[in-house]
Order: sequence, then C-alpha cells, then structure tokens
Amino acid sequence: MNEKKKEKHKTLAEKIIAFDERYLYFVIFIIFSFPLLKPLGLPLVVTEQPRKTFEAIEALEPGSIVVLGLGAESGSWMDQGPPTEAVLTHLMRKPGIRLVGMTISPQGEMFWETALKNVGERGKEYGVDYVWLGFIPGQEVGLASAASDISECFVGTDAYGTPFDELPLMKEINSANDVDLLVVYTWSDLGFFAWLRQWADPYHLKYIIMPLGAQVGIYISFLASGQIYSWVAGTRQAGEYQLLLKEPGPILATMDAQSTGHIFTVLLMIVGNTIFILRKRGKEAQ
Amino acid sequence: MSIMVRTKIPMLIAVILGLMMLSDYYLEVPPDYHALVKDVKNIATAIAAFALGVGAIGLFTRNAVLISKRKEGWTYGAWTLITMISFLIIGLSYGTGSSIYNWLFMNVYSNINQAMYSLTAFYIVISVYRGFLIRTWETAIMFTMCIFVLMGRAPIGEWLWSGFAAIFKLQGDYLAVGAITAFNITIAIGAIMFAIRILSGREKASLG
Repeated sequence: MNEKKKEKHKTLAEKIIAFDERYLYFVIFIIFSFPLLKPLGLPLVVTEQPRKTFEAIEALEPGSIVVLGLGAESGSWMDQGPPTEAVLTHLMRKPGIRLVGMTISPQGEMFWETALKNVGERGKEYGVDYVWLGFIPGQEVGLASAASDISECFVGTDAYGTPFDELPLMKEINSANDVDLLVVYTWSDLGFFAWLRQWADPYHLKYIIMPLGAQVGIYISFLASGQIYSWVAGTRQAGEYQLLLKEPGPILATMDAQSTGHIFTVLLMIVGNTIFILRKRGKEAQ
Repeated sequence: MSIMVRTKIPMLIAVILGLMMLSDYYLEVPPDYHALVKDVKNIATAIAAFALGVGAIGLFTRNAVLISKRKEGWTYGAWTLITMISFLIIGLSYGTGSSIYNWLFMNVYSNINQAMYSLTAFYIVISVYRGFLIRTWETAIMFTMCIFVLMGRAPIGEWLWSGFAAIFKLQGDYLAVGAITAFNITIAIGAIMFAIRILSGREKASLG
C-alpha cells in the first residue's frame, strides 16, 4: 500500500527519470526513420567547402589527371559513400578529366566497384579516361612508394592484371608529379596523414578530402593552414554537392532525418538539464 | 649473441633506413641514391603485403586454439573462422570481382557492419540525455556551443534561424581551429621526439 502511495506522489521529474529507456529507443527510431518514408522537403543551403570543391573540379583543364584515393571501409560508407559518389559523378561526367584510382584499404576494391556501378562511366573509357590500380599494402609506406614510381609500386599492372603498356592513360602518369588534383576518401587519421605526408605536401598537390561528417573538427586546422584545399564531409555536404551538380538524389531525404534527429537531441538535452536543475533545487530546499 | 640479434641489429636497420629516407626527402641526392631509396620503399611495400598474410594466419591460429580448448567465447571464434574460410575459398575460386563475392561482401558483411555502427546513434542520444548535465560554468558554455553545433549542422537549424549557421561557422573558424591546432602541434612535436629516439637507437618499443 505504501509503495502505491509513493508511486502516486512521485513528481513529474521523478517519473521522467524512471522512464524505461527502451521506450526512448523506440521514439528515437521513429524520429530518425519517419522522414525517410515521408520527406519533409526542408531547404538545404550550400556551404563553402562543397562549393569550393565543385569550383576546383570545374576549373580543371581538359587532360588534367586526378588521383582518387578510395580508402573506403564498410562501417563508414553510409556517411562517406554519398560524398564520394557525388564527387566521382562530377569527375566522370566532366569531359577531358582523367582519373586514376587506388586504395590503401583492403575493402576499397569492393567499394570502387560499387561506386562505379552507381555512378556509371558517363562516356568515359577504361584505360583511356580512367584506370583503377587497386590496393597498395603498407599504408603510408605503400603510398610513398606509389608517389615516387607508380609503375614499380603496382608492378606495371592495374587491379585487373592489365599491363600499363595496354593502358594509354598510364603512359602519361608515373608519379605524383604528373597529378593535377588529389581527392581522397579518408575515414581514419592514418589514411588522412599518409596521403598528406606522402602525396599532398611533398608534391604540392591540391588536396580535397571526403572525411566523416564528425571529423571536420579534427581537420579544420589543416584547412586553415592550406594543407587541405577543401572537403565534402558527410551526407549533408553530399546533398549540397548533388544540388550543385543539379542531380538531387535520395541523400536529401536523409537530411530531413538528420534535422529531426538533431532537434530531438536538443530537446532531450534541455529536458534532461531542466529535470536536473529542478531536482537540485528540490534537494537544496529540503 | 641473442641480444645482438633481437635488439641491436633491428635497431641498426631502423636507424640506417630512417636516415636514408630523411636524407632523400630533405637533401639533393644523386639519382642512384634516390633509386636505391625507391627500391627500399618497394621492398617495404612487399613486406607489408606478406604481413597481411601473417596477420590472417595469426587470427586463424588464435581462434583455432580458442575452439580446441573450448575457452569462453569459443563459438564466436568458430564463427570467425567459418566466415574467414568462406570468403577465402570463394575469393580464390571465383575471384574478388565475381558476383557471389560482391554479393556476400556488400549485402551481408557491409550491411551488418553498417548496422552495428548505426546503433551508436541510439547510445549517443541516450548518453546526451542522461549525462550532459550543467554542473559548472564550463559545462554551461559547452552545452550552449553544443546546441549551436547541432542546430547549425542540420538544415532545420538554418530554416528556423540563420544565426545558428553563422555561429556554427564562427566557432569552427576561430574556436575549433585554435584548440585543434594546439593539439596537432603537440602531437607533431611528440611524433618528432619519438622519431629522434628511433633514429638515435634509444627507442626499444618499436622492436616489440
């Protein structure tokens, strides 16, 4: 009987605190998934970095060679895959741009096939306009080797075993000196610093990255120093890039989910702190 | 003799190769010396490829021991081995570019991996609700900036009030740059000191 009385006289704050978290998980699931099924259509403003990346690729002269470092991992593909595909779309559809791809992640090979399938060749011919060299073992050591001599590093063949002699594009690039732009998918500090130290800085390349959205805070000092030229970070900036390309995709719907999720998180923070302050004042009053 | 083999010789190799790399990077060197350094880098890349194989063998051995001795968690070890061997057989038989390998990787492994990472969203939201409490003026400032970052990053923030995006940009361009640059400089100085220790033969941690 006393237990029931105590339950009845619990304050609102105490009831909220005692609220089973599993119900909250369900609410979070609804908050994140509902906009995917029924997009809200919130406007998306294009920010500075995706615009700068777009303009950098647009400014490339015909015949320019771009190296794409696709250090993809399955855990981060949901956040970094969309910006990678958006930038790859731009590179593949711009006439005259030639692309050489490689990866220091064992999983990168699989994601190259996926990205290319989703983006399409868009009129480019393998061997003439783009080549996939495949996986380099050794992380930074491998990149150092590739930067100085690509042919020796990859033993003169691409990822499919085709000799470089049969690939016209590979006759025009043999080291980082021949590259006009470096675009790198990087999900770890290891990959980011490896490309920066072995390719971007020594050979003075324009370095564009596609990091996780949450990593921009870590790399912002490199942007300020000019070592990173620009970035397309996370799904939000992928949506912005798609707007610049005038090829909007399903990413824009995930922006609505991000919006509702962030709003809900802010509300929870305010509610949590309100309860904390009220309980503190209650205890002080006692 | 064993100390010589275990520590002195590896240390000497590390010092010589490290100095070679440094000199090639910073100094104007003859083409033959540069070619030699390139060869060393290629050899290191080849060794790294073998290291991947050694890692796989190590994983196999460790899990095999776990299963044979029926230690705690041995069923997970068995599942690890089954998955590893399946991918190995399919990859060698059909090739990593084959449709079956691609299907297994993208539709099974990759989706499971992404689902696991997506669970962090729930934990982050709950931990923010339970743990992000204003107890001091520092946490009050952090709380305020967190609100501006969350609202500035999401499109709805800009739609509600343009100030969210403006404040988010200001904190990124000034506050975050200063703080992170301090960290990066500290880390870089630490890395330089570690490199100096290796090149002077004083660092034994890298020998294992």
